[in-house]
Amino acid sequence: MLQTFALLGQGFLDCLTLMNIFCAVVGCLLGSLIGVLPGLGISGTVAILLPITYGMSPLSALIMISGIYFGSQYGGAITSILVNIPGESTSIVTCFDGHPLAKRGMAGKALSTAAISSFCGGMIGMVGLTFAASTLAKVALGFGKVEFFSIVVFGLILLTSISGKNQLKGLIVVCLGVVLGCIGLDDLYGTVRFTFGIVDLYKGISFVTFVMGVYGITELMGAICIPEEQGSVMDFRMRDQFLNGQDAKQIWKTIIRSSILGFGVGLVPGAGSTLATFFAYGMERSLSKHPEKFGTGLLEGVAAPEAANNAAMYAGMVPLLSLGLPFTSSMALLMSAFIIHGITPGPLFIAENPTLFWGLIASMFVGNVLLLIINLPLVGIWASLLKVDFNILMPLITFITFAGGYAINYSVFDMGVMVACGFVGFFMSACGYNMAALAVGLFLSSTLENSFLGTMTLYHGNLLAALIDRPVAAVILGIAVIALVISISKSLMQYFKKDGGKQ
Amino acid sequence: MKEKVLQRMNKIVAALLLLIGVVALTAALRDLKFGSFAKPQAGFAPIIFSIGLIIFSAINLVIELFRKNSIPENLKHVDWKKWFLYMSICIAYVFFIKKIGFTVDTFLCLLMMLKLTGQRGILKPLIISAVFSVILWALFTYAMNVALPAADWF
Repeated sequence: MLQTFALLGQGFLDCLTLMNIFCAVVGCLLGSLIGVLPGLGISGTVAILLPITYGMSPLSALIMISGIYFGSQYGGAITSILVNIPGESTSIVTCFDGHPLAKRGMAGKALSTAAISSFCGGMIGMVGLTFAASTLAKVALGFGKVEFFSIVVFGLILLTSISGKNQLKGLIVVCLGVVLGCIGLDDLYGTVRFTFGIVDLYKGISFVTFVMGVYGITELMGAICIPEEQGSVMDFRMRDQFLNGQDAKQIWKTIIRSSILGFGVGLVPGAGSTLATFFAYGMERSLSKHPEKFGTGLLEGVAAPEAANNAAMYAGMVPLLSLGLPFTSSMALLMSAFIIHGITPGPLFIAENPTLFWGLIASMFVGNVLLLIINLPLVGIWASLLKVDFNILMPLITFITFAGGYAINYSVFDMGVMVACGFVGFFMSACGYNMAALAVGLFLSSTLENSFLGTMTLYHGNLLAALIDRPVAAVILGIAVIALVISISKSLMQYFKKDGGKQ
Repeated sequence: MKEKVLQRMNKIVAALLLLIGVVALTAALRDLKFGSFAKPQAGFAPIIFSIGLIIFSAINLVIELFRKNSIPENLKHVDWKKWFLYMSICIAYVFFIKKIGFTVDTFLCLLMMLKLTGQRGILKPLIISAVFSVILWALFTYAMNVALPAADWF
């Protein structure tokens, strides 16, 4: 325990340099700036802004990326409250009570509640992350290929079962993601696969380029080509912004409960922050003495989802930092950002790079505090951004995305891949295919293949013998199979029960 | 009635296209070695996952054939003319970037995209496009040390 605090203290020393604080401030500002724009989700925002960190030292880059990540999350809440358009899927629930509060002239209080709840949720999540990640990393040091194979299968199955509405489509996109991840030179044998003679494909599809396409270009395409009214922004006064003692008393229990629940939900692979917000809101409504008032403008209705989604985001970092396995698209993108800067998260990451790990944890703490300090006074500026003509902003962001896509590998071919991914992503997401599962499938493809091939070679093609030899892997894989069977039978029951297939 | 049939056809066509695409992708694997379960080769994982993909896509097509739901809600509201033009501008941008260089290409395509999104007049879109393309070029070149594509003739 004492060693943990000592390392954390060292992390703060490394993190609190002028340059790193500047990076955190810029990251938070840029994240909030782009996150406030409806239509651009967290993954899109991080993908678009990632090139800014090129050329920085790894720690400064991580600090800026964390700032962008959490800033974009907060930006989504602003849009939800003031315009009733969720900037991200994690902000949908915030709209339920946030916008009614704004309509009643309490926009400032709703925004303060969102900021403070996010901060507290983040802090609780961070404490959980600190202990869970270092503990899991120690456990994971004993993991072999069989365990990693089981964990990846487990995560992918849960991702399709929990987050998507249609399990079959979920399975299709996961398999498609894994196959797309096989494009290029094979890691083990150096054989060229799926390249169709195109030399640019030898290195495979860059994950960041792919995400920029399926999230960035797809979302921009939707924003430009689907005519929607630009919502009217609610006016508010700065002096109405601060919470009084009564308000604080009203929400503190909600914040703590929702943060703990959010962290727990976020630990489940594939569940992600969005599900955590719905669970937390549902829990608060069922615990409330006035459940009928939820949806009419209650501060608890804003505090619950905001605390839960921040805590869940930190929980999502536990498998990322300790196992090197991201199970949401935004975490996969974050991992790509780490890899771009020469950092490979995994069981050895914490032991071999304590400076970076604890610096990252400390930077998240600093980023969280900065977000609270920066965003409350600046909320008026973010709100005014919502009044800017989106017909000008969206084309500008399109070309920033293109330039960012080029900057990853200095490749015009990658820009073409982005356009193709945007085109495919637009139709697939409209047809109900889960793009997060596709992205995570693509990202985990090589881990899945290498661990699977390693297992098969090690146990001479006998998977059963491998599972008997490694009981932890057997349990994980068993849970995954049970989850898959339950989810498929549930879908089939719904399909036949509802309308005999005439949905 | 005719519209309903067309709407249903849309999803079937999407599922069919997916299946055709997947089969075509799998065909590209025919030269790869599968190996054996004890000694898997480079084609082992892609072949297994491609077969899974074909099976799932085929089931999906069958389900879509028996479903009577309409066109996806999101696609109902798409301004297809704008969508086509947006895609065309994006493709043209990528195609011409090496030929005419980043700044000129960005200026021209941004100008077209601003007109596409409904900017009136010519002066305002012209100024926005010119200023933005130069700022973007300067930002990437000087602040981020990224050498953006220059024109072939430059």
